Amino acid sequence: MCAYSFFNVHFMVFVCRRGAVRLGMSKMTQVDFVPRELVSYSKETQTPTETQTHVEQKPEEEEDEEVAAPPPAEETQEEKDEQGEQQEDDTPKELTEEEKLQVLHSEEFLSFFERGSRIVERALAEQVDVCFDYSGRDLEDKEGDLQAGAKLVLNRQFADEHWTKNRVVTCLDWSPQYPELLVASYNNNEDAPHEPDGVALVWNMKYKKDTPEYIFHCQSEVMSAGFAKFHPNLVVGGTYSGQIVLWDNRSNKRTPVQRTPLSAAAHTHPVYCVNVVGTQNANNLISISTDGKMCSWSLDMLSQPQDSLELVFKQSKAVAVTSMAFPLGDVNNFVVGSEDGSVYTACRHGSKAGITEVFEGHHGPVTGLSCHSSGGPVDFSHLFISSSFDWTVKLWSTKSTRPLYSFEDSCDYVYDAMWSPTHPALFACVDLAGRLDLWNLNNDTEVPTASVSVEGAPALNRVRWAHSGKEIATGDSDGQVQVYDVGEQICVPKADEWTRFVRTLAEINENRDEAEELANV
Amino acid sequence: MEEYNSGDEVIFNSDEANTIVKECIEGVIGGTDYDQSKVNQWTANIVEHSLTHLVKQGRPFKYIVNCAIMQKTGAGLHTANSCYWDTATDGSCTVRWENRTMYCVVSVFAVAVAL
Repeated sequence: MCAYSFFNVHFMVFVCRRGAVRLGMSKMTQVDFVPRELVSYSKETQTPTETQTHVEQKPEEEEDEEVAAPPPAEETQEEKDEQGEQQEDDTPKELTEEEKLQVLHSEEFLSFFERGSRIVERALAEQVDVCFDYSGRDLEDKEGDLQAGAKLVLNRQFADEHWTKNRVVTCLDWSPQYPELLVASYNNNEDAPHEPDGVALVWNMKYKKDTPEYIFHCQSEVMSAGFAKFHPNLVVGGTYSGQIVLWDNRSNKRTPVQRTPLSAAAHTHPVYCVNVVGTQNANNLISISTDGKMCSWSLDMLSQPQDSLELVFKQSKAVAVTSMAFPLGDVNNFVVGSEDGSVYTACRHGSKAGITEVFEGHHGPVTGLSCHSSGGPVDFSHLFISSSFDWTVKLWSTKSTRPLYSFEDSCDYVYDAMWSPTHPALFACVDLAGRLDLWNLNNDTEVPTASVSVEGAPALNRVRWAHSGKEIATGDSDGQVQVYDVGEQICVPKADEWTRFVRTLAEINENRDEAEELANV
Repeated sequence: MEEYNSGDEVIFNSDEANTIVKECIEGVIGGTDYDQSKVNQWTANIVEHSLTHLVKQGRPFKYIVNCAIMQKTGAGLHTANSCYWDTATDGSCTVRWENRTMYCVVSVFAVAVAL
């Protein structure tokens, strides 16, 4: 049925259509606007009701901690407030694995981590006694005053499971700038061939943490090590391969920042002696290897020695140097001890550069040398002591080629000896049986004034007085470093020690001359 | 008088309608913020313009245009619609539009005119 309708402009004309109309349901259309989420939270504070009136220290400290805890919590809630109002989805972006690794290996992270872990380790190990009563009322309960009668007390023992096990301590040195720092060098660990052969650890006496302050290592066993006297950040090491290595604790590296070349111009034999001599503005690193070669280096440039000298005796015999010592204040003349049992004096510069004199007396290789170093009213810098495999420590004067005195109390190889830096008549020596002896020549020259044996009787390799003269560090063959406190009545010199020592020396000299006369007769 | 295409069955083209409606909305409230005093005008304008444009297409449809403007206050809104018609020829289209301060929903229903 078609129909045409004519209407006015506003109406339309329709087309006819045939067929039935089929009706069906359409798809439902939905419109959805999600309501904004309102973040709600509750805030609570709890005022402390008790413990406000306590006078003692400990509860107050705890309160401080409590009061400190709520403010941070309040702050975070205020932050949430601001975030809620912003309406933005500001969730922190999750880093990918690669990005995480990149951050972990970045320079800033590593240096922060190293610094941070050092500080946290110290804090965790501290156990300070806050209830200490300085008036002494509490001391009666304690086991008697420890320092009054004791002569040598073990203060600390340093060892590290990873770095010092199965290694032998080869050298010790105290830092001149920070009296609590001590460097110990170790040789190789035969049970761990993949670990670096040479290790030097810097230990810290001030804090109770028992891990090293700094860990340094290098490819060859470190036979001698020391803090560079005028450069507080540098540690020098002499190695078995003849290389001298320099570590810097400012860099984050554990490997040396500078190394001397392995060439004939430098050393090709183990370097047992390294020392920095001179003054702040004019100093040199002196090193001597066991083939008698002595090199002097500038710490800024280790690529070649400034000066080198062959130490030969009587133009033919090279001296196999095992130990070296410079007298107090002297940068030119020094003494060396050698494997053949003799001690030599030598000088660095001048027409007679080289070996000057030989001091014979030991029957075995000389293991340690120490020049008298305590300054005082009387100058004893011509005296030095030497220790040797022949079980003795001998006292010498550079003025005479025969020993002044021989200390024969030990029953085993004496490995090292050192004068006290503060007491003119006191020196320490260590031997293979694990004994540390302190000799006070003003008291007795026949037997040591104080003696202590290390637990387990390891062989003690090195002994070093701290610069204060009140502590002694010893290193042993098990890789342990022990630090002993010396009783004040022993290590602190009284005013008349120097004059007494003059008399002691005079006696020693007399006795020696008498003994010679008797021998000659 | 306007004439239609003869013979062919006309199907509602919802995409075209979509475009037309969007343009209309943009034209009326694009760039403005919700204003209580003007919102009456806006809804009226949107509906009128959309309808006029749709009719201008000259297709044989009955149109129903619905417009809702809601201020953004964090409240939620939900609407739904469903129809019973000739699914072959009839159709609807819903356009959602929003800016920073308001939502706008326009629904167009087109029912084919049978003769």
